[in-house]
Amino acid sequence: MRILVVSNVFPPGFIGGYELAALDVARGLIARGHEVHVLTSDYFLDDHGVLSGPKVSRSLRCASLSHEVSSTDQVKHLYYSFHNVRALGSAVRQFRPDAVLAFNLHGLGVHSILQYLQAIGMPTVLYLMDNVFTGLDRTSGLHQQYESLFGPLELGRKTRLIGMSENVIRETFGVLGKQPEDVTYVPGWVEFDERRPADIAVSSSDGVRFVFSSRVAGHKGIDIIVDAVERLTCEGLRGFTVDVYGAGQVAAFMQRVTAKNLTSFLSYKGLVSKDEMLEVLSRYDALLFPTWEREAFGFVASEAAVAGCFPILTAGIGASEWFLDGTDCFKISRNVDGLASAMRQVLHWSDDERRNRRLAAMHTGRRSFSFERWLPVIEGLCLEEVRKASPRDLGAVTRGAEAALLVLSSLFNERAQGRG
Amino acid sequence: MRVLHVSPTYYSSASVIGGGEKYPTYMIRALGDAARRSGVAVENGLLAIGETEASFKVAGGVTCEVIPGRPWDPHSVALGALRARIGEADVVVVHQGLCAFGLFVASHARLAGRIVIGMDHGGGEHPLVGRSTEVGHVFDLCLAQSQFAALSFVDVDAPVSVCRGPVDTDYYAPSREVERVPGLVVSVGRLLPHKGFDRVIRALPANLRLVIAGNRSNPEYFDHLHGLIRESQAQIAIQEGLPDDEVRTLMRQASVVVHASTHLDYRGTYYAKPELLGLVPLEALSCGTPTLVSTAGSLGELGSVTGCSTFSTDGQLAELLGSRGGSAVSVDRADEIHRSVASLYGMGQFGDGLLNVLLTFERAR
Repeated sequence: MRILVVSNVFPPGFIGGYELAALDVARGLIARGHEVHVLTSDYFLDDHGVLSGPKVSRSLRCASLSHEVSSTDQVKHLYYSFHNVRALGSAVRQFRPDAVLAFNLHGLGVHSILQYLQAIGMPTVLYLMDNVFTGLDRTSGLHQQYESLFGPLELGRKTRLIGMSENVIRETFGVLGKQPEDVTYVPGWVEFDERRPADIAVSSSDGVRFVFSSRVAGHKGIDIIVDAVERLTCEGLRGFTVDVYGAGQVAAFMQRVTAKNLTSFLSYKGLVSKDEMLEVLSRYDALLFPTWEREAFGFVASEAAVAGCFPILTAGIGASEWFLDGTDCFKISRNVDGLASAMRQVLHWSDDERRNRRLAAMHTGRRSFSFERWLPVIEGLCLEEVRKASPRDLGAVTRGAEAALLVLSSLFNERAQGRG
Repeated sequence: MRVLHVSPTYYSSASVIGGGEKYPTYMIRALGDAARRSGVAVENGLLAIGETEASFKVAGGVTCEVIPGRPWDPHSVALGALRARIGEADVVVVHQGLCAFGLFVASHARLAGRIVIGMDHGGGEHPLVGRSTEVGHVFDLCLAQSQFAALSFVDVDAPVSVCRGPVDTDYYAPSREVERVPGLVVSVGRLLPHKGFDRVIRALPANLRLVIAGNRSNPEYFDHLHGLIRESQAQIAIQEGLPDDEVRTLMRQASVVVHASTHLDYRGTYYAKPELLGLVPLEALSCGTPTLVSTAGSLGELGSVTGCSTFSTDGQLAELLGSRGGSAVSVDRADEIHRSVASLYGMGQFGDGLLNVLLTFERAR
């Protein structure tokens, strides 16, 4: 197949797991004999050919990666972007894909892109690892104006959906005000050597080692971790450390740790590449991941599990759907009490118990999150859509659909600017 | 093949009584008749916009379905209903296709993957037309009712085909039962400045009588006409609100029908498209009545029809009225004129041509 991958951002620059996953899938599909072209924005610098794998075009415009948009222009870009429709049309005419595999469309004018792909009859699979409609407000005047011209916001009857979790699907369809239907679930994955024996060595001499590896930001729970560590130390608990990996608001984090006099317990360890992540995580007993409840999945939880690092994560997030509380993870309430309580339990485990819990997490991880298991599922869905598609004159249909969206965009802008 | 005709307004006193509204009804009947003759299954539907949802018969027994909205405002249209109707069709004919409403409908038809035919009846153009030829890609074909109408599509990138007419030559036919009235001049149309009724009044010789049949659409122009009538030596009357049957009777009685549309009205205002076909003169000619038309817009093209004479200036009109206005046409001559209209602008030739075009597109799909 010739597959066009569409994503708002794409490595080497990245914000989180969504775009890294897009790279994994693109490379995986190439390895399975498909031709893959990536269409993304110029939000991050070009890789200048350094990135191995797919050919990447950065002709899209991404208005915002933030879930909180302020300017009218940014809000409008949540709905439509004629520039991006045009760029997509151009890519379709040049690359002539059999299918489009879409990842994060937030900030690209998600509705116009889906409406366009549907109009040109392009087999499309949308992999929802986040709510790509976030920021849309169905009660706003702008939204109503939009729907009066373009039609209701929908995922597109012909768009095949992959959901990373029930959590993300629930939130996405909540924004759309619709019930989800026909979703295939593919969780976050890990590339690992399945032939390597699943074993863990635990030594009590090092104390209990916790790890956090994500964006160093409030919504990922870094402040909750600091406060929970403070709580445990105030209780007199010792013999543990928390190492922090990742980018973000690192300065604020370190200042806070210093201010609370917790430097013997909490250390910032810098950034770790995705390739090194498994090895690094395997050195820790438990992952601390008190992330926000709307976390679509949380790749780090699957990576931790595969590495035999016992996940302590917010109950209800996407990754938690694949674990059993108390057996291969702790699902916590997202607050200091919840996290401190889970950490306390881990601190009271014997070496054997610690090893067994970590092994349980590892078994779950290896069973549930193997990339080799899930990539063929993604590939199969693309193939299925391609088989269902009717032959069409791509040149004519793309130009017709672009003209139609040009008209609707123009009418929408006139109204938004008080004309028409 | 299911063909949906979409027009912002419809031929009714509840909406607009005008050529642009009557045209879709002719088109529907012409296509339906041609399909029956050729044994092709064609289902025609007419959709328009109005205050409330409704369904009723308009001219020629055509059923018009009305969905809620303000006729020319795309933002106000019940889009769900519109998209549902489009979804049921194979072909969507968008009347007034170049205005905001028309482009809006055409865009949704295009996104739904339908065959989209655009037509212009003088409803204006959205600023995108002329700014981006690409807008034409929302149409598979632009259909023009005259060579002049074809010019409307010069600024858009879309194939254009001319199918002349149609006019209902069954309804508008000479009648042995209606007596011709020597010296009776008739003009028909909405009382709008670009229709040039003032030209007819000014050019009318004192020995002729003029009846203007039309509804007032512009109070200022209406007053202007009355001022001219008061100054005229001739006998002139304006008859408003006449039903189609009575207008036809007037056409049948007339010695001559005059259609004096103009690009430049009495105030000096310019009209780019005063006529895109000229249904009124065609209907008059189809009644067998000699007709005088100006050369404005498409009207000059009607000069090829037997019994139709053209004029460029008011002086030429006065001369023509002086030479032809007094005597009534013979029965044979009336039949000859009628046959000429039927062959050049009749429903048969139009319907066959249109059906052929649609089948070509459908086969290509």
